[in-house]
Amino acid sequence: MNHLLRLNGLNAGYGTIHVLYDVSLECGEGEAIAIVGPNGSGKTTLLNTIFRLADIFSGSITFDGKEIGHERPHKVARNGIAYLRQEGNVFPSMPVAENLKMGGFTLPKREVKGRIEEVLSLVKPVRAFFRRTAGTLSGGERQMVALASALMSRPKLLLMDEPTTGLSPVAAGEIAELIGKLKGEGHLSMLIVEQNLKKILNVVDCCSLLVSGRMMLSGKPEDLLSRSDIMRTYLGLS
Amino acid sequence: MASLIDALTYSALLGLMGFGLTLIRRTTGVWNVAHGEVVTVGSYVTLTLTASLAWNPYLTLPMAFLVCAALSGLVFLIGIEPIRARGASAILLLVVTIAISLVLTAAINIYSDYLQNVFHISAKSFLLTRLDFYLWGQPGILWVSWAALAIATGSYYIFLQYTRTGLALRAMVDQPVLATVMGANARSLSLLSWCLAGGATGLAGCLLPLRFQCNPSIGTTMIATMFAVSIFGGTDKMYGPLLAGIVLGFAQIYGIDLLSSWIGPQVIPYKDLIPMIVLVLTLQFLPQGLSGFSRQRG
Amino acid sequence: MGEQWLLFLVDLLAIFGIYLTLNLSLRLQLGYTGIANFGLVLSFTGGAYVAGWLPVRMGMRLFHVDSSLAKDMIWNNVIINSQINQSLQQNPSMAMSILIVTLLVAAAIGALLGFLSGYPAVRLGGDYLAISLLALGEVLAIIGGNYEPLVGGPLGVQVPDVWAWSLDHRFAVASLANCVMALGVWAYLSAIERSPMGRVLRAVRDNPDAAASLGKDVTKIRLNVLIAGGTICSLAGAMYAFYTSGVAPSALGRFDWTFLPWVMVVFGGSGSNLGVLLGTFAFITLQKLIVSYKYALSFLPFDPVWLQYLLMGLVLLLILNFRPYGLIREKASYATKPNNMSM
Repeated sequence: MNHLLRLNGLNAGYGTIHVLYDVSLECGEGEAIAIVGPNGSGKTTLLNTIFRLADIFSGSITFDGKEIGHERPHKVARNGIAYLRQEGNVFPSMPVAENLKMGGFTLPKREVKGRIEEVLSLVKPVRAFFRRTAGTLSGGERQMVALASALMSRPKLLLMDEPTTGLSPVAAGEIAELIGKLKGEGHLSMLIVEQNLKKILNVVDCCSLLVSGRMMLSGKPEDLLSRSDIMRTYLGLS
Repeated sequence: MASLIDALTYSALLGLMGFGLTLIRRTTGVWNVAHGEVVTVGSYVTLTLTASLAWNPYLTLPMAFLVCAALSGLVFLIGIEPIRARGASAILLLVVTIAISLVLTAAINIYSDYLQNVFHISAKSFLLTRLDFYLWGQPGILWVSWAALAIATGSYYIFLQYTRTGLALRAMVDQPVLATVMGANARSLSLLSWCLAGGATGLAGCLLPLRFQCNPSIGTTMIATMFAVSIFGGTDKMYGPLLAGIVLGFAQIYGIDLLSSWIGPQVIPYKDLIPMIVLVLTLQFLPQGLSGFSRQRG
Repeated sequence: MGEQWLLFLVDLLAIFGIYLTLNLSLRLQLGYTGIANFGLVLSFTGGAYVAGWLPVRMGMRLFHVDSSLAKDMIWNNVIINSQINQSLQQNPSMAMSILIVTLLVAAAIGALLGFLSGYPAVRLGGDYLAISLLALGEVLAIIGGNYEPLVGGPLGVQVPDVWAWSLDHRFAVASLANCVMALGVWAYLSAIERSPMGRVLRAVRDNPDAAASLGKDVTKIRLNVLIAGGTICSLAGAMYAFYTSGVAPSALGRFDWTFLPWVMVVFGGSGSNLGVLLGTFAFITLQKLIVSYKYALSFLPFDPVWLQYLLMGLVLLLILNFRPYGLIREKASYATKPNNMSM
């Protein structure tokens, strides 16, 4: 399979703080990979590094055959990568409509309006609060907007940082359902950081365990779940 | 009657200056002390072009805009951005702007010394009212200053609300990291806002000598007032400095005029204390300023 | 030639003492507590104004100067002062009494100014406080420059020469006194550094939220530091007025008495007394040299004083870019490390 995203021997961190040690990862087209691990293991840093929001000390990042490790953060988006962050993932002072418009910043101007329609039909609930200011929305509603905005740029790869954390069970379920739907359509690759593996079990093809900045093992989610020693030690699950 | 014209003109110009200062603060989080010198540079552009090339002072507006926009942009690129990119604190950036203000003060004074000594242009103290025209019985500066303010803020509003770059700028102010991952170039946007801020303030500086006595330190002496305008107006919304400019401009000129008719002319030199008083009151009772007021209640 | 150099050095030392005092005050506020005080000139001017107002009136009473002259203190300023100075020459104890009383009043005024200028914005902290202090720093200049009865308006007044009794050694004695004052402040700061108060101040500087959560009233601490800082600046201002035997509002501007101290402290490093010392010495010497060789630079079509501004600005920019800690870094304290790129 052609690898869309390849991280090779990545050492990264913030300034003098070394967070990721020799991390390698591969994600193919249409593949969904979960990154799990205990708190502070560097999962968010991993996603940040792809967007050069963290410093790369050594190693490479290749996307669609192109080396993107040297690109400036705002250029990374143009390659077809979108990032659904855990916090600060909407523009609270702007209406939802403008949030979506901004999501489509890398699109040619004339395509934006049409794309908004497409995204609204994908993430149906957003239509209900299209005119509202994003800051007035509930957590679940915001997450919908954030997801919709991320999809605006027609990304080939979508990075998601704990998309269901902090949401009510209903909202979390809705998001998980949406992610499943996106997976089902087949052309979007996803890198999902998630605390709770069980939630996205059905969606992901592969699972990687990140502990203290090191990739411990990767494999099918069922295989990982069956290793109860790992589940207990690293994920606090039984 | 004269003081009403002064007050109106001064308010408009204060509004423009405060607008520039607030814009820089809102988009890059920097309190730019060197902004005072940008005003002075604007006035010297006018002086230079009217004295050496006999231009009409109003024709120098575009030049003042360009020169001051470029200066401001340069200050940002060379002085601010490099250390801001390395994560400098707000205070460190403030000190940088002070250092830049010192350099600019020196440059302005050297330039004016040069104009005076070599070209024999009265550059240490100048007033260009004689070059003004009259329209509907009032000096042109009155109309032009308000027109400049209206055009500057109006076009800025349109830019913000109806263009893609304006959207990106608003996004950057709201959530800089999110805007970046969506593809907005934060550095270019910041540079743009510094240029716009410099240009708007340059317009004010350009028009200043048409009504008020100017000298090499005119901007430096006004920076405290400009801060008062910015803080009193609040950095929440861009109409803040406009409102504050009007209030402060009127208070300073027209208000002190009224006061002197009650108490006596000895109060006139203290008009520069009024912005200080407003500043202190604002910080004590309304720290978010006029434009932040609605946010607090809502 | 030798005598010229001696005079140059004595003068250098005198100004050095004043600036060192001022800079140590800045160190207390900025280096210890993280308060960026851009309004040092306010308290400094306050102390100078006290010296411009009080001693002459004290002298008039003490030496029974013709009270009819008191009708216009400003117009008769020179006459009054010359009479007082004649008496001061014979009366070292009176002179020192006048000095002490003036310094006490100046200290009180400085404390008050420090408090008043900081109070409105101290809760906001950070750069809001800095801007506020910068703006309010101008208040005394506006008042003093316009209200003649205070210190004679922009041209100023003479100040009784409390060092007159030392006759030929007047400058040396005054110079020494300035340095003693600086030494006193140095000792005070060192004492604070070693004390628990020093740690509290550093905590407020590095992590105000943490300090607050541990029960420290951050606002009150900052205000206290501003008061202490103002007191020190005011003393420096009064001593400066005594040294130059005069007070002139037009010569008490923010370039000389706020920005220059900042350049010196940032250059030397606000993290240690030694750094402040080095920074002060370097720039005083530089400034004095520029002023002394002004005539050598007269070929320039502009006033050489602007070279000073240019130089100070550029030096400050260079330091902030490459060595924001200054020449000498703060010794890392037990618990916290100074933030990279923060002040």
